[in-house]
Amino acid sequence: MDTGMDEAQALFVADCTTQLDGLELQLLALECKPADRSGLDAVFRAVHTIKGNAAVVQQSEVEWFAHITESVLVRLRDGVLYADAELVSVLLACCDHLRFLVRLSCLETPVSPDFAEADRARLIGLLVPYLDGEDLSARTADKPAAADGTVMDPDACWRLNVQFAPEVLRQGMDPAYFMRHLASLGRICSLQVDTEGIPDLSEYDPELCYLRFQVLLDTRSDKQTIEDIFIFVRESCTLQILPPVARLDGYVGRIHALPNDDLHTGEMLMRVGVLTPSELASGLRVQRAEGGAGKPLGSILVDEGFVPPEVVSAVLQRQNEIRQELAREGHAFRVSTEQLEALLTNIGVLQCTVAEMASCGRDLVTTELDVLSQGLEKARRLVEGLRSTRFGEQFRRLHRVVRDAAQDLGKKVDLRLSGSDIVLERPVADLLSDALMHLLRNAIDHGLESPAQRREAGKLAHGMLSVDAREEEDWLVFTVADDGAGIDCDKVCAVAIARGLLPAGARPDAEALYALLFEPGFTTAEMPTHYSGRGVGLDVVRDAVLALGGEINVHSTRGAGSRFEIRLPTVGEEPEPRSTDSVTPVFETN
Amino acid sequence: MMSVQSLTVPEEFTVHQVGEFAPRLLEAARSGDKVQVDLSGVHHIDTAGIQLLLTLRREASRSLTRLEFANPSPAVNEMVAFYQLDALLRAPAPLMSA
Repeated sequence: MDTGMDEAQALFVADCTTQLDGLELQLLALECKPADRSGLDAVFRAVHTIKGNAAVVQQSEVEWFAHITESVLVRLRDGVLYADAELVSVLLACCDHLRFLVRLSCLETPVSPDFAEADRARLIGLLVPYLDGEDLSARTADKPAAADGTVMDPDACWRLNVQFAPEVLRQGMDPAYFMRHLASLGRICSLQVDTEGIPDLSEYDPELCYLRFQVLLDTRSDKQTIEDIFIFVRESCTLQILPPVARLDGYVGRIHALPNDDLHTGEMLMRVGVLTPSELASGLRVQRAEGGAGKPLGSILVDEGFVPPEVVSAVLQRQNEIRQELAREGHAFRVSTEQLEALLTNIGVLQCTVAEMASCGRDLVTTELDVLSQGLEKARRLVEGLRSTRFGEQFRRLHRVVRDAAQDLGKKVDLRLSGSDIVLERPVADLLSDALMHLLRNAIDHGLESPAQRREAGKLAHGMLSVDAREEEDWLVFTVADDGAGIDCDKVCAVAIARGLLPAGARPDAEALYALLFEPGFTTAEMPTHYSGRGVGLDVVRDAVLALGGEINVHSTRGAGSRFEIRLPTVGEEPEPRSTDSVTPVFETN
Repeated sequence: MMSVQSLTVPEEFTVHQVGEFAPRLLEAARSGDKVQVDLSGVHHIDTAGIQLLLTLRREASRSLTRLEFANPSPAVNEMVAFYQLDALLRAPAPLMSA
């Protein structure tokens, strides 16, 4: 959420992120149940919505790539393709690429376009076997400046109805000027001049304009841009600009993604870009003219030809939902962490001030200070609560990392997650999640055996991996366990001696050897073909845990598996006011 | 045999001229004769000019006048093509030889 990004764009990013999160989960689920009809539908819907949204905000790269992905999904849904692990891998990569493009879209200057280009080329290469030849060629036809002769798709065109004020010609403005200007936005696919309005000769004045114009315009511009062409005559002409049928799904999707704010019909329509401010003003004028008991604004806007009825229905539906959600949840909303941090700091400073006053202000009534201080404390806890997240929100990332690593390394893994209700502060959750992902990769790479080895050892071909979170008194305990081969102490010892971490001939006990696993550079030495390829070892995990004031240890049984345990102190037990100065509160809050 | 009227449209055929030329052109279009409107000299035509041509065409068909727009200049052709009104310039029926 950067500055300079308008609201529509922010909404686009937020909605796409939600869709992509859902898509990723659905794809992972699909791999287990490849023929699941509702799963296939859900996957298709997510990508279709992203495509529609992208069209609305003119993110052509996102739109095009979503289109290509969707083409594969159509064939999957129609049963032409089968969702095997290989195809799911490709689709997950497409999901990642879309995520990347969406993030890119909110930056003012494009970052690493070469990477995007290379990544896309790579993915297209992977997608080609799953595509019909024509899917890819759609791109050239899509371009607004396509040469004449390309097939015209009326559903992809904006529909304009324009009737100028009769005096427009006398005022020195030729309607042809506006029509030609329209062509500069894209391509006029069809222009119809309607002569119905020319009166009988008794009333005919050749200097007045009686013509109406109906235009099919193929453009990526938004409604406001199209309307702006008519800016000099806007007040006097009758102008209807209806979005392409192909974009309706996108608008409807965006309406459904609108935040839970109590918004008016007109405002919602404007936010998603289907209504312009001047159209809203005209609609409101009509409503006022009709008097208090007139039609609702939505119907007026449809009757005036400003918005398609489908979009208004979606708005009404969303308003109902919002009302229900607001009634049910009370007050759920999105907050930026920066704002929360600022608020927290502020409250902390206030608490210090109160403490200072208490320490020197004899004239102040202590009970009042007491109340004030308690109020501040309560406020701070409330804000801290907002800043927290449930552990369950990390599950999608963990599933994904396990799935990808297992796929790449030819292992079979069942992942079990528990403790979704454990509450974490967001910054802690982020660091922790990185550490857990690393442990999971490590477990799949070094812990779990290949399916063949496992069968030989009398185990199930599928390895078991689990991540569990629980509270233990003042600690949050996170366990990553596998039922793999366990840690080979002889090997660890040999590598440690070779790396100079142990003197030759040393043979410390298992505990001491395990501790060596967390030494910088240890893993890379042990495993030159290290899967993760991220250039980090378990030392990074340990550093992250230490930074959080926690500890990490490992237990392992040869042949039966390993168990990493991360213990973090629960925060908030003795919350110190967040202040940078050295004032010590001398004031008890209870 | 019906008489043939021949009319010429001026070089400038815009909102500034249509008021002056419309009565004569409309009268001819309602004459029921054969009418040929020569568009070869038109350098500049605007929407008012196009609208007048459209009106002439309507009046002609109401009055069973055989109206032909002859020799459209490049300016006329361009404007007619832009408005996708190619049918406007097409004669409703071939004229008998004069």
